[in-house]
Amino acid sequence: MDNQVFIVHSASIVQHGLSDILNRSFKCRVKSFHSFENFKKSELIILDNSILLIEDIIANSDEYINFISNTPNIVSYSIVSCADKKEVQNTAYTIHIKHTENEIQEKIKAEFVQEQVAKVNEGLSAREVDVLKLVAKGFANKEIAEKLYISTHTVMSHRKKITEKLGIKSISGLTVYAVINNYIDTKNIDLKDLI
Amino acid sequence: MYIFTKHDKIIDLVETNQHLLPVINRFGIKLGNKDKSLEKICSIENININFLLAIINTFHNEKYFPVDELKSFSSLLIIDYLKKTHFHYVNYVLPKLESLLQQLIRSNNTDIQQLSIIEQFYLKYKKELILHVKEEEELVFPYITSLVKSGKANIEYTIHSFEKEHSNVEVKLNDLKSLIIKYIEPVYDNNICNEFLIALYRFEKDITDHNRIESKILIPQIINLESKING
Repeated sequence: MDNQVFIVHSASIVQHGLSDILNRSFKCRVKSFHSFENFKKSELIILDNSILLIEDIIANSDEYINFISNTPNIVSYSIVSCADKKEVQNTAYTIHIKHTENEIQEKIKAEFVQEQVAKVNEGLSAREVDVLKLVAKGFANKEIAEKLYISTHTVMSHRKKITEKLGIKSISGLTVYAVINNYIDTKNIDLKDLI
Repeated sequence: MYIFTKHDKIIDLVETNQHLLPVINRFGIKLGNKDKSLEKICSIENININFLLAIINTFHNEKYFPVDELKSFSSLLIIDYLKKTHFHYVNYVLPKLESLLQQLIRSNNTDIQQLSIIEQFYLKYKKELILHVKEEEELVFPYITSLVKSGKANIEYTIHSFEKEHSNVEVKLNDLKSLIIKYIEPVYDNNICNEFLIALYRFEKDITDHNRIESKILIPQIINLESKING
């Protein structure tokens, strides 16, 4: 089935531009909204493997963070306009409005072949392992973001992917996974405190 | 999908779905009723037959959930049933799971200690579940009872504060299954592990049904009552 893509951005020019690029590159159905409020009001049914492209300012709001934590079947990318394009070149789940068409395609193409990829590659990426280690040690999203020099939004996207790949949702469950795979050294820690 | 009626007998229930056994026990029904119909048994035992049928049918069929009919029963009747399921969880299911987990750990002859980490996780889960049950029994249910009986609250509380906790308990149970099935080294007796997993699945189904009755029936009933009382 075609992927569902939602664009939430206050600028029409960004909405139309992204929508155009996506429609030319991938088989998908794109719907655009000017504000997060409008997006939520539409009460669309969110199918599995949906993609949300969201303006960076909105991605930092509590309302958005709450929504994304409770919607496991959506993966979200923030659309950045102010930072230097080079700075976000290698940042996962982030698109810069000055990215070229090819760069945007490269960034998000993984989501469009996700079903096949997920089945073949169950392992976590190196970055996901970094995030998992910190989650297992009990750090909050904000602290993890600071330690890894990434945004809270990116941490949350990584966490979603981890949960999706492993089939484990709770923090204690992720900690158990990290311990049995030797991702964290338990010699100096009392497991009772951690799990 | 079969819907049980008052003309069915206990043996019809059990032949169709053995997991209904503990459910009928919660109503105080035992076996050995010869060929009596459910209607007859309920009239002897003084049980509300319509409530019994609603509960066993929703338990048996995941898709069968007559919200309006269920909401028509007294909150006190629903609480009584929920309390009996709590009693069953705390006094039978959890000790049973724990004993199977202990057997599983003992069946490991290697140096691999992953099962003891699973045990930590289980103990944490159990602690949270018991806390949740305790909160319901000591705070939520007395609050509802006083609201229903006297039309006013005896404690500072509203049902809204209750709704959140629920899903966490279900999430952990699911994680426990994933960890065992997908990730830990199978250094244990297979038969005991199977038995443990089957018990987990059965418990998960029971607890999902229990939570569905609380969140879709009891809580809306109380929100409705609260708004009537507070005008």
